[in-house]
Amino acid sequence: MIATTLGHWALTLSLVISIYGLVASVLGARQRVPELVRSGRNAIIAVAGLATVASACLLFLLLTRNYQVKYVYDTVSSYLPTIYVVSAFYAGQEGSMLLWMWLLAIFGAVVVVRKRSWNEELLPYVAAVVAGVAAFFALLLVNMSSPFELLPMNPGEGLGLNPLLENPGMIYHPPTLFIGYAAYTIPFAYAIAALVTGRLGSGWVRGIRLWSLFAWLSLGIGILLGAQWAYVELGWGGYWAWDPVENASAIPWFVGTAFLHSVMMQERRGMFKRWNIVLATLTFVLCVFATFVTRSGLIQSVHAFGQSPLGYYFLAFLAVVLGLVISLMLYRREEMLSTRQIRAFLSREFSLMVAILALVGIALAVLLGTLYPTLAELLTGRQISVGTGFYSRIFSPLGAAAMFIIAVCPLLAWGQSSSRRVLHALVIPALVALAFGVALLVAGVGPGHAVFGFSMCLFVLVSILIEFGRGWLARKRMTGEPYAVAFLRLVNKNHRRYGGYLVHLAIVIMAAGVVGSSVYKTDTTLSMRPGESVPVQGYTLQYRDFQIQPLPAKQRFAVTLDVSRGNRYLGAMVADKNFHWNVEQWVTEVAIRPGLVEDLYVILSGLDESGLATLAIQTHPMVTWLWIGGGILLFGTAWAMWPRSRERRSARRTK
Amino acid sequence: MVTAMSDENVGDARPGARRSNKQIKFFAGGAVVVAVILYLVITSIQGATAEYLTVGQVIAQEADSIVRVNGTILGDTIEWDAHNLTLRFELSDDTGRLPVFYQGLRPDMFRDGATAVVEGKMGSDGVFQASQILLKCPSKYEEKATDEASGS
Repeated sequence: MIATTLGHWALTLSLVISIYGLVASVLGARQRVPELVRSGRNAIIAVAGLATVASACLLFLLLTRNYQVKYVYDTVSSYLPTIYVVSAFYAGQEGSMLLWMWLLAIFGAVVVVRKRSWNEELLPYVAAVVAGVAAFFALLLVNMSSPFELLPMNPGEGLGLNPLLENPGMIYHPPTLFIGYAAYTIPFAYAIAALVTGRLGSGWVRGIRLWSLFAWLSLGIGILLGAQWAYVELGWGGYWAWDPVENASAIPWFVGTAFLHSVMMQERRGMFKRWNIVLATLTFVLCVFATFVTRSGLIQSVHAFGQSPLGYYFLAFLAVVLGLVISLMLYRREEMLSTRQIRAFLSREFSLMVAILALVGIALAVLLGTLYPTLAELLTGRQISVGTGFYSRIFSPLGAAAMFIIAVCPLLAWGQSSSRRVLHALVIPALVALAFGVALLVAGVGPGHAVFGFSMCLFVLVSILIEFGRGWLARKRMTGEPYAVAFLRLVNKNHRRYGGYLVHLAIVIMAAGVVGSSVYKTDTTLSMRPGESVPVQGYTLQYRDFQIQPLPAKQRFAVTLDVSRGNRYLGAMVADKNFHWNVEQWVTEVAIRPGLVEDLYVILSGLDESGLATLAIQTHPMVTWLWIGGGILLFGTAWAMWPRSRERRSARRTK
Repeated sequence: MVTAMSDENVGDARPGARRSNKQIKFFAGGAVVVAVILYLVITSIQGATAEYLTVGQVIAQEADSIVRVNGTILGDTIEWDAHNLTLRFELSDDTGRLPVFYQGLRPDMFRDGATAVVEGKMGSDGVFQASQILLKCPSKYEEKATDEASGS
């Protein structure tokens, strides 16, 4: 077992070296010994190399299907297509932690290698924090959840991956999330570095801009991919169920969104320094929390604490991080005072503050809902559950408020805006939204809160488009360039602003999708015999034939339905349901006919030898808008991150 | 960024200055936002929680509030009517046996000995009317480990 030994020693060595890196970096920076600082930096690079070796070892063991390794036995089988062996890497707790540590070490190495004059003083402490976090994960991997643990003998065949995870979505979803989680360590590391050195000005904020955008984007896309996987593969008819694991990934995303905005306050106005430290810490801690929750089942039940020491490790980690941040913040409290103050309600500053409070509020509300059953059980000993009603009651008003802020905030100037100006800018969007809302109500589209939600989305959409259009026309008038050129030069002139607008646009489109899909979802359960046809929601479904077929890995049950709408034939839909032998488990493969207006979604629930099929026929309006919004989000964030040519040149000069 | 930024506005740059009275109203504004969110959370969570009861407690209870019951499915009591999509079964734990009625699809992992959580109300006829059945599936991958079926 060379690979297990090598992997194990790579992890052990990376634990030792990350502890060394932590000590060397801090000592070197304190005593001003450049050699030690350099050595600490090299330690990070070494840890990145060792984590790569360990990951390669695990991947090798999985690919060669070495079932004597417990982790391989647990996640892989000879039936498993090779492509999903890759996703077996992070299907369990041990592999996930290794992935976390590997990503963190790589990101840390990228940060320390890119040394610049402005971050020279911060960098040793950034390296120290990265080394500390890497040491924590290495300790867990070596000490209690090693992916290289061996079974006493080779069982010859593995248990295999949960068939639910055999979906392309599962190849991309977890690593994208983990990239986001691990990348949020860098802003946190800079926050600590800023606190320790007392350089709480704009330097550290500059260091984290790209990292926080990158982490935020990965997290957001990861969450969306997870939603898509749930929608396509889990087959219960939805993309979001507010279960603890989903919530755990959404919470840091909301706090991370608040952080992106509060960073702007510090960059532009020298305000919100405390907020930035707090939000960077909170986002990071919540990312670690999410990792633990996902793989250890900690919040499903308090009893998980008794069964595994993992929970205590996490609590200890949390205590160290919070203790460090709080004491450093107390120590530096004088330096964190703002150089400016809010001067008016109608100002960019105040509206951003409200936005940040709302986002953090949403995050904490979701956190509370997630932890409430655990806390209640701890305190009262009684078991309760929190229904999804809690989240929709919170989200409808706060979501509408957030939409309003998205529309108004970009219109407000720093310092103070004249109310006439703002009202003037809002007249057209408000009128369009109002007319749209009234039209919907007159046309008989209800209920009221959905119409309000759509109108709100349109209000934001129009105000963003007007902002775009205004800048475009102004440039065209000033320069006389053709329209296309003027547009491209305009959005190229300020990547951050127009990238940000695009992201806002994406959020609005997704919000409309959420409103539509949650309010107008329909679900019809019925049973049919071959040849029968039923009308459902304007569609006609004709049961053509069925299939019951044994395959090597599973027993396949399938029905084919011909779908038409009015006189138009839309095509055949095949809904499957498979019984997987290896895990003795049913997996439903839903049939989906996607559309911009609505998806037709067919779940096969049961099928007997006579062909009697029980089906759920659902319509999911506007779900596609979520995926379209996700695409725009990706593009908009990438645009905001892309350096302007001038910035690229200046970056080269300072090298 | 509608207006040009007057970035170095020296007048209000007072590091370390005490919070002026003017600032208080903005903090009050922020406090209002926080209070609204808190109010929303507190009022929402009260109506959205369901308590887990044992079978014995459900049978004994008077009030017809929505509760959740955790128990084991008794295989020989399952009556599944695929035509009318009705599911009758008994759920058992240490404290007794509870007859359950559910209208909807039969969940995939619904079988003898499976652990199920049913949510719903006790009917006047002594049969528990389930609006939702959740099954704990024996998955090593804890994510999405419950197979969910909800009544419509």
